Amino acid sequence: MTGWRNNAGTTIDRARRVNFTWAGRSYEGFEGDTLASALLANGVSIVGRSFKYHRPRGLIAAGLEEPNGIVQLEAGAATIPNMKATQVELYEGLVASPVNSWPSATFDILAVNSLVKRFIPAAFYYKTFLWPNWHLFERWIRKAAGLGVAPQHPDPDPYEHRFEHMDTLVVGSGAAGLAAAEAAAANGAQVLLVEADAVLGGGLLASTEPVEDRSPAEWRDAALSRLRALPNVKILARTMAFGFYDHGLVALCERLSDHLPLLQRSGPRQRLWKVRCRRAILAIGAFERPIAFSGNDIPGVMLASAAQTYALRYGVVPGKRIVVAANNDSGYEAAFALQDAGAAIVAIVDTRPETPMAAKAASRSIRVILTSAPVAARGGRRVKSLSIGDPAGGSARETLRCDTILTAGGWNPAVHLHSQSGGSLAFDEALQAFLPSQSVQEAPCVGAAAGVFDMEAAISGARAVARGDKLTRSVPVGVGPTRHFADGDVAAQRAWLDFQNDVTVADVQLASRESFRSVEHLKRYTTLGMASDQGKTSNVAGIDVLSHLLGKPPQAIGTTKFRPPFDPVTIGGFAGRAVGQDLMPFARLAAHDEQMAAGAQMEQYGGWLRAAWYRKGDEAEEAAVRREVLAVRNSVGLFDASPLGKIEVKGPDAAEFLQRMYVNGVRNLKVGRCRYGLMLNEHGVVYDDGVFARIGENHFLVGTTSGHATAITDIFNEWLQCEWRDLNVLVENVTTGWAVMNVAGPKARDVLKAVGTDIDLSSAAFPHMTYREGRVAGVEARVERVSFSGELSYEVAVPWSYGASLWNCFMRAGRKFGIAPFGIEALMVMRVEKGFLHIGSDTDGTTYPQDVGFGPAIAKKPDDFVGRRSTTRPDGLRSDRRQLVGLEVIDGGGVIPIGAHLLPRGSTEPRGTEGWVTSSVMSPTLQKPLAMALVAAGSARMGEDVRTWHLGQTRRARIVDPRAYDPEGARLDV
Amino acid sequence: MFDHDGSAPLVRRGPSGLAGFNEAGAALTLEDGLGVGKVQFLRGATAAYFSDLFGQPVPVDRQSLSLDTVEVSWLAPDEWLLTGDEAEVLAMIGRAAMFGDSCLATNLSHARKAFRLSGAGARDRLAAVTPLDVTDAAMTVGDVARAPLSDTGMFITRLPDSEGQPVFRIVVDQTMAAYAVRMLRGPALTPGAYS
Amino acid sequence: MLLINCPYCGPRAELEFRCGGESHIQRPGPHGDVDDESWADYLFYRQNPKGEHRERWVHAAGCRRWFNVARDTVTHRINAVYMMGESMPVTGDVQ
Repeated sequence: MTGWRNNAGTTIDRARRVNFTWAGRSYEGFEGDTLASALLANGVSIVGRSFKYHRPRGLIAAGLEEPNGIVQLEAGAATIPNMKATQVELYEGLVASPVNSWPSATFDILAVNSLVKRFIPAAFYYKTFLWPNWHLFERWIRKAAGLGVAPQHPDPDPYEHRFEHMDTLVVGSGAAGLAAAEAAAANGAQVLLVEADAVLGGGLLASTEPVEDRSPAEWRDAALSRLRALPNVKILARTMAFGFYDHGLVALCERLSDHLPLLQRSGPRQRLWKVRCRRAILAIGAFERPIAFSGNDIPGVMLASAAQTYALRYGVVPGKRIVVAANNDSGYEAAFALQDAGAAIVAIVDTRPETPMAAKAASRSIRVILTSAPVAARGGRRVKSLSIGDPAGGSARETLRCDTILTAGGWNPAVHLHSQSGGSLAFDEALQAFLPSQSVQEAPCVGAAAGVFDMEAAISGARAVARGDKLTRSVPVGVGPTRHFADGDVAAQRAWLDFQNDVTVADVQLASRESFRSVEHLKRYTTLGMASDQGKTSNVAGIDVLSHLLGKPPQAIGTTKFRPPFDPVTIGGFAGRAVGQDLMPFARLAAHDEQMAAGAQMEQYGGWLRAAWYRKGDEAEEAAVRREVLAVRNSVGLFDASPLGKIEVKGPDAAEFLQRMYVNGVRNLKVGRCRYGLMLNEHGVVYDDGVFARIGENHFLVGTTSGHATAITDIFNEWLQCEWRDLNVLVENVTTGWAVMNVAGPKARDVLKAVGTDIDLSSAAFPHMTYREGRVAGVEARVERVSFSGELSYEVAVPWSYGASLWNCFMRAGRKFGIAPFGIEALMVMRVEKGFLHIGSDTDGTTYPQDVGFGPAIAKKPDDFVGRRSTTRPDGLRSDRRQLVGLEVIDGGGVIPIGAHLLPRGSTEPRGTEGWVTSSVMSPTLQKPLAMALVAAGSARMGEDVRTWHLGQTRRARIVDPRAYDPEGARLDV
Repeated sequence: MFDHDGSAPLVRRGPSGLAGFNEAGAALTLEDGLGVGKVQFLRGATAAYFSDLFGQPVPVDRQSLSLDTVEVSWLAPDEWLLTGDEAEVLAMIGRAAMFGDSCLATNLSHARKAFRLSGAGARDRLAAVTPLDVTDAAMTVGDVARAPLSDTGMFITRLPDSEGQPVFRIVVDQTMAAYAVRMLRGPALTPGAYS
Repeated sequence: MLLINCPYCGPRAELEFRCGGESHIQRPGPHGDVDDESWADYLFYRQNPKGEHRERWVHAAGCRRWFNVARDTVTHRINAVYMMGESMPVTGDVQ
């Protein structure tokens, strides 16, 4: 119990107490606290266990770079794993617990991992893949590793997206961001200012230095009130800019209700913004670097700036006896702030031989130990002492008793968004940090993000940049030296770089010895920087170690690639409203409700909800399908064919165009007649089919498979606009304008007649494969006499809004014939009985038209068409191509499973395949199983007996003509 | 000629389950019975035919032309969307036959669904579903565009303001109408997801 | 996510468009006279440059018109947008 609350704090409201639960115990904080500040105020110093060794860990940061305080927030459906305690705003009733510890963070059984640490070094995971056997370790590793627990229930929260268009986006609301926003808005530009924190102000909230002769708080309040008065400035707090994409697109995540008690939340939880801006000004600040020394992960070691933030913003002092280890002046500011907050500063240990700050410290009676660096912290669950020595190396020369060690190792500008935008980085020797160098997009960095750490210089620089001037940066005050470890020094095994992933200096040394010297290889091999903080505290320190080992400057080593997101984003945020029924919206048929009432079992086919079959009474699917098939074969059935694609193609060159699009001839088709069309892609592969009707000399109604209407329309337009620009053709997809009822069966004509039409339905006047226009039940209709079932069949299209009514009409008129609505399953059975091809079932991405019986049609057609040349490439001329055939079952058994392989001739073992079953049904009409298959050289093997094999089961079948039912088509010609 | 066999003549019915809303500063009203049609001319033929059909000169790209009861809106080069009185839209489509094979005119009244979105919150609703810039500066009265509406597409035009607030006409495929309304409405604003 | 200046509709977000790959590819013909190698060239072989790439895009969610784009594959800068059937304009980035 070391952290404590004093009576300060700029962003908490002491009048409003907040109760919360941590690891099953109740605590109290204030409104404005984060979970981290409240835990610290309550003296909780162990907030979690490390990923690999399960070492006790305390908070080291106050912001989004925190690697240790990873928590599971809330329970049940509302649970969110792996939140950073520093980013969780405290609310009444909040429940959280540490991740990765069992049974508790303060006592964790797997902490024995720490004792066997030398047996689980860097790349342990990779090495166990090789020796002795990954599976020996897997269960143990899976249990030990991993952070929080994924929710088991659907996310109860809605999320939404928002597109925005802006002149200037300013990211970050510290002094530089506020100054940039104001200057950018001065000329009337639309400005959006975003801040990830709940409170605007950035570093101003935790600073004591006067700004332009005012206190930081006064300066902030004045700047904000000026900005809020501007109509062209929009300000968003709790909004994280997490990704910088091409052409000025920046993605933001706005947290709308995360800070509210669960029961008070309403509306979207988060909003994902996609802001297209002409210019983005990046004022994101900088992250303080930890210092690597032995024991630097013991709870009580913290970033100096974090301690300063906790003290000034939240009135929380992380310890009572504090040592500050610094290599630059910012550590002194923190020491003074902590002293003012009521802590005893044991000493400031500075690696530099001199600094003007030493005198200031002396005036506060703070002991300054120059030319000294931390060597080793000691302590178990809390720091007890720090030994110090010479920065150049050697043994420790003094031990300081303390409960807290603050490290001020210099600053890394937050170059993430700059780098994501395509900008390059340059290593600054004085600051020992990577700074933004060249920009590719209009995305200048200002303030600490640009390496400008002096507040007033940051402000004037930001104003200049916002006005369009270049940032001029004075030579920065550099940082002092860092104490390095000799390669192989055992103390390096206890000097942490990546706290969350448990990567030490020794791990980097090992990787380097094993030749993983590229920074990207180092990252993957050691997992340095791969934790949920993505190396915000560890990457540059790791590069420093590698640089020292290899004797190469950091610029030559470079950084790993910065990728979005800058900070983790909830998956729900990306999903937005695309969840549940709106993940993939399905189209509904005009007669959907009527079909549901008739027992339709709806399934999704190509984006449409359609009846697979209709349940009558309590019958099962198989019985229903059988009933539906027999109704069509013996009397009449009704099928909703509305999703079939309908594309109007018109123009002087319409026939010529379709002649080039389809395998079949089009030019010689007579007006009023229909023809089956097979379409290939340019690779010669069978792509789509349908029936097209010539409804005028230069006007066609082209049918496509359901779900392909848009794609085929797009393909038509691509050929017309890109390749055959000389053809005069117009195309319109009218699929959803016409509801189509397919009445099929020997009594189809009687039913259509009973419904009422002015079209002459006699066989002579309206034969098979013709098209007529007229009126059906008083409404304009397009009627095609086409058939996929093999029976007399009319496809009657009426304007969509009449579709439901037409369905009812057919059902009423067909009642005396026992009309049965039939679904996709029955239709599929009937087309297999007829041996009709179903693209996507009987074809795959290698099927050419000659494989499905279109060789003779192609031979007869002199003209080129899409894909034609591809079908005669060497592969297309092979004699053993798989061809579509029928299979007759000859072993007396039932249906052969779809996907069953055909064994090579003479073989009874599954060695190699000669093809496979593509369609297979039990035919109610012929009362026997029927199948279709793609078989090597199949059409030359009619009558041959073959064996099929499926999951160990061998069956016998005979290769036959697939047209099992009415092969002459006599039933169509009635 | 019609042997009705007791069947009633066909009844017209739009997509089921559609309803407008008026909440949080945005109102959506269904434009039932609005005629929608499309006229396409062969490449470059607009200049020759447009005024014969509509009696007005060709409007500027990305804008619409207001006739008595019908709006003629640019969709793409040589491609025009007609919205308005259904009988008049149908009459125009019928008259387009005079251009023969140089013109494809289709009645889309059954294929599309139209609604109006208006109010101070209308732009916020649109910004949640489309990358199209619908700010006052980018989209003035009479401007038209085709653009995404979440995972479907829409035609959108800005109609004259009403009571100082913007009004948009949105036309979507009728099969996606219910989805489009859900997307524009957004999640329920009532608390209680956790109760 | 590019911002593409559709020659008909103006600047729009990339998600409204679909890329059709390299442009200015001649379809060989007549089919009977095309040898396997030329056909494979047409089907499969592409320049894939590091630098300016001439490609065709369609404004799928807008006017549904195809057009050409000269885009730098390294910086994603769009150097030119021009119509189908137009020959390649000379841009600053062409050597």
